[in-house]
Amino acid sequence: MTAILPASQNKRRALLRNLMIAIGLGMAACAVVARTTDIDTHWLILALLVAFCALAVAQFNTLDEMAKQAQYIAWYWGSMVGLGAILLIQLPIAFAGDRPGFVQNVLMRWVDPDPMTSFLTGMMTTPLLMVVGFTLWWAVYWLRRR
Amino acid sequence: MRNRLKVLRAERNWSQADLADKLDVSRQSVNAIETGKYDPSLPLAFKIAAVFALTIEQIFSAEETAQAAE
Repeated sequence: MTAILPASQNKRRALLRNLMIAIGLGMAACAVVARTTDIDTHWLILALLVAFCALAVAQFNTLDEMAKQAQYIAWYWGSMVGLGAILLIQLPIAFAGDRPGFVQNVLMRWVDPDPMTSFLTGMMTTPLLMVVGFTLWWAVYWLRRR
Repeated sequence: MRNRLKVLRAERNWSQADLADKLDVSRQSVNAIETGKYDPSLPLAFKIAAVFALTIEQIFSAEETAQAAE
């Protein structure tokens, strides 16, 4: 892949970033088409997602050392904070042992009572909070060094 | 860590983007190194020294060494 990319690392990074933006917009367009028409775009979205992930790996390799360090530190500390935020959800559940209605009344208000939706929500909450933590940590780290 | 990157760059009339291209790093990284917010790795320090045709010691100095010299 490096053979078909520009020799300059900065130009490679910019090219890959622009391709990722284009694919991201393509995925958004496919999602809009899927919601507004009867055309099935799921396989196209999956293919674009795979291409996006491949480009993300290639783009990471073009980052310079400071940008890579920002990613490492943000993934470690930011995602750790995200994991810690789970405690804000788990502690009320743990301390509501003698008042089970508390969980249903307070926490379940934001969750669909359907078991599958509840399961998926629980499964996605942790990585979502980790990504939020990463993004915030990375933004602060990067903006302070710009 | 202190460095003379900004002075050396100005002597050569290079912008931060020019130096970034020569070093194959982002302009933000050059700015962070210049302002002392980021200390480069040894390989990058060698690269910087090579670009300016100087030794690492002529560009970078430890904080204490720089204060003692003043």
